[in-house]
Amino acid sequence: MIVLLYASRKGRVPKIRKLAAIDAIDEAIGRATEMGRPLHFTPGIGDFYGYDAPMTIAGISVLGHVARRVAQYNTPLIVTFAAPEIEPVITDVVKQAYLAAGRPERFNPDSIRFISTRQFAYTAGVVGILHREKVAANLMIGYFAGESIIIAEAGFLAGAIQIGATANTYQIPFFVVACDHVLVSEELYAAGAYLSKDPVQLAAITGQDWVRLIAAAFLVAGCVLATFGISWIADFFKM
Amino acid sequence: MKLKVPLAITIILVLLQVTDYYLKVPVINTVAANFTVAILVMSAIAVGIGIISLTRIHVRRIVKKRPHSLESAMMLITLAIFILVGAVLGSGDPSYIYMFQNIIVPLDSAMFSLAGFFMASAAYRAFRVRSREAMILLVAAVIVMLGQAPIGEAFWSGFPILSQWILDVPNTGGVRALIMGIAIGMLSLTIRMLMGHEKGYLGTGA
Repeated sequence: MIVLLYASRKGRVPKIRKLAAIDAIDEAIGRATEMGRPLHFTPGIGDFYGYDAPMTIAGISVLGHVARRVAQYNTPLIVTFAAPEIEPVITDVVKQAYLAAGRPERFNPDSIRFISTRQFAYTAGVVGILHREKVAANLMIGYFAGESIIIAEAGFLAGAIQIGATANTYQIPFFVVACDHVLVSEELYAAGAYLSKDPVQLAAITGQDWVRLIAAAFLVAGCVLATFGISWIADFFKM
Repeated sequence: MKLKVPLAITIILVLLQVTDYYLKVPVINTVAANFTVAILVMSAIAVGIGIISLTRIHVRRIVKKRPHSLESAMMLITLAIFILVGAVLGSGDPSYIYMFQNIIVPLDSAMFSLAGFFMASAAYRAFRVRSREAMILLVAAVIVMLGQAPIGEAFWSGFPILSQWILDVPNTGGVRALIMGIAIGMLSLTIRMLMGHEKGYLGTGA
C-alpha cells in the first residue's frame, strides 16, 4: 500500500474500479436540486474515538464533497448528527466547502443540526426532519446501529433517494434492503479517496485491493493446505 | 498553517496511540492514558456546545414564527426542566430518576419498537423477486425463518438443520469476508491519515 502511495507521487495515476454507490451521490444531489428540496446528510451516531471513529471520519470526508456540490447548485443541505464533539468539525468542513465552491454566502449555520446524544432521541429527530422538510435525498454515510432501518425506512416513506454506508456488519443488511445504493464493507473507507480524484489517495485504494487479494490468496491456500493436514499458514497467522 | 497544525496534531496522536497499544513504555503509556481522560473532558465540553447549537436553532425558529414553533418550544421547555432538575437536585435524585424512567425510557422503547415494523416493510420490498439475487435472498430467508420458528419444524424436521447450515456456512463466510474488507479499509484510511493524504475531515473538502 505504501509502495503504491510513493509510486503515485511520481505522477502515476492508478486505475480503480467504479463504485456505483459513490457515483450515485451526484445523482442524488441532482435530484434534490431539480426538485428544489433539501438533501439530508448524516454521519450517524459515531464520534471521534473508539470503534466508530474511522467510520465517522470517512463519512465527514464524503460530506466535504457533497457540501461543495450543493453549494454550487444552491441546493438546501441539512446535516444531522448525535455526537456534539463532531459539530465544530462538521461546521468547518461544510463552511470550507461553501468557500471552496465560491459561495460562502449560501452557508446556513442552521443547516448543521446536533439533535441528541441519545440514540433514539436522535432517530426521532431525524425521522421528523425527513418528513417535515420533505427531503429529496438522504445520505447516511458513517457509523449506524439500531436506528439504521428506522431512518432508512423513514427516508423511503418521504420519497427520498437514499445512499447508505456503514462498516457495522449488523446494519449493512438493513441498508441493503432499504436504500437505493449501498457502500458495502471497505467501500466506505475508500469513498473519500475516490471522490477526491487525488492520485495519491487513489493509489491507497489500489493498495487496499491488492492487500485484500493477497489476504484472500492466503485464505484459499490455508484452507487447501489445512484440508491435507498442513497447517503452517494457519499457525503463522495465529502468531 | 491552518491545515498543517491540525494535521500534525492528528499524526502525533495517532502515532502515540499506536505506540501505546504495541509497546510497554511507561512514559508513552501514561501520556496516552492522560489523553484518553482529556477526550472525556472534551466530550463533556462538547455537550455544552451541542446544547447551545440546539437552543440557537429552536429559539430562532420560535422568534421567526416558522412552522413547528410549538414543537421547538416544547423541546426547549423539556431541555430546561431536565437541566434545572439535574443541576439543582443531581442526576441521582428520585425526581430526576422518575422523569428519566417515565419520559426518556418509554420514548426510547417506542422508537426502537418501530424497527420491527420497518424491518417487515423493508423485507417485503427486498424479497420481491425481481432478479436472481433477490430469488436467492427470498429462498434463504424463508428457510431461515421456518428453521427458527416452531411451525417450520412441524412442517419438516430438516428446516432447523438447513437454517443453521445457512447461518453457519454461507452467512458466516460472507460476514467474515466483510469484516476482512473493513479491517483492510480501516488500515488504509489510517495510513492515509498518518501520511497526511486524507484531509477531508479537516475541512478541505473530500
